[in-house]
Amino acid sequence: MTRSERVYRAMLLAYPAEHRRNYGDPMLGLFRDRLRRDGGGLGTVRVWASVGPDLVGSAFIERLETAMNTQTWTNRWWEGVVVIYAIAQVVFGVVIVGNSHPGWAIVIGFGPAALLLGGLALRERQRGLATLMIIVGSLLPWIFFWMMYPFVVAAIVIGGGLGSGKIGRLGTSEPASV
Amino acid sequence: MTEAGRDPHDLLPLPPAQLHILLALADGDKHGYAVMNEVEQMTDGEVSMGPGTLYGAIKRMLNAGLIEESDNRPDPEIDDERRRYYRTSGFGARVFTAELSRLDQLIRAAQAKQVAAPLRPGWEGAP
Repeated sequence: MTRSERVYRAMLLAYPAEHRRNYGDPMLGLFRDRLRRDGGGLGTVRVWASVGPDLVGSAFIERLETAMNTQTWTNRWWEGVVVIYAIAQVVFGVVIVGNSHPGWAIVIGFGPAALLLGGLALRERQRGLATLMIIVGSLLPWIFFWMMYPFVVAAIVIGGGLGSGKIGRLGTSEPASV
Repeated sequence: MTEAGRDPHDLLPLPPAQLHILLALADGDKHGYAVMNEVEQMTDGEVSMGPGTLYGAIKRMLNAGLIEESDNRPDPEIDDERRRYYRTSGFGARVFTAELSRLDQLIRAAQAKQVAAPLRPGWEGAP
């Protein structure tokens, strides 16, 4: 195998793994045929000048197509949200609650975070259980927050209700008769 | 859906690379390098498909059922067993015919407007 062929083979890593498995060898073979036909001296440079942009352009298209077909971007976006949420829960548990009640840090912080991350890890093998873990891990801190500070939550709910009611009345009230 | 039930017009217009590949395969099974060579010859070197473009198009054409891998080895003496040969499928032939018909209609429309070269000798392009 020539140096050019070795370089081209390495550059095939730009393609998605499945595309490489199915077409990597034929593509390398075609590149080898092109080198045999046109290579040697400046010919090799010309082959690279033609094949290089072709590789970059087609690899981008294949990557894009694979990402769209497998919804990789969407999955990664959700994974990112869940991981950030888990980190926030740990910080919330340790900093806010852990100061006065270390036990709550586990219940509100580390526990739900572990459920979230465990759910992420299991999502390929046990989708139902993973979904349940992520839902429970997401809601748990808010349930405990409501249990610990019922008056605060009640005030928020009542205040919100009154506020929306007032806004509703303002929006629908008849003009005062004169 | 069965091949017979598919409408060839659903895939039109064909991307240029796929049209060239179907044209190259019209007279028999070929491997990738032979397809590439034939496309270059047909177009006087105007169209040169690299490995990425060629096999990207082949992959999409296989998925669409336009072509299929062939077990035949038309030229066993010079055959490399690693080469993969391709041939046009029945559906691919129908799509190819429909695309040629569409292009023919386009040329006729251009001729009717007297912008196509055969009707205006010496015409070399749009003003």
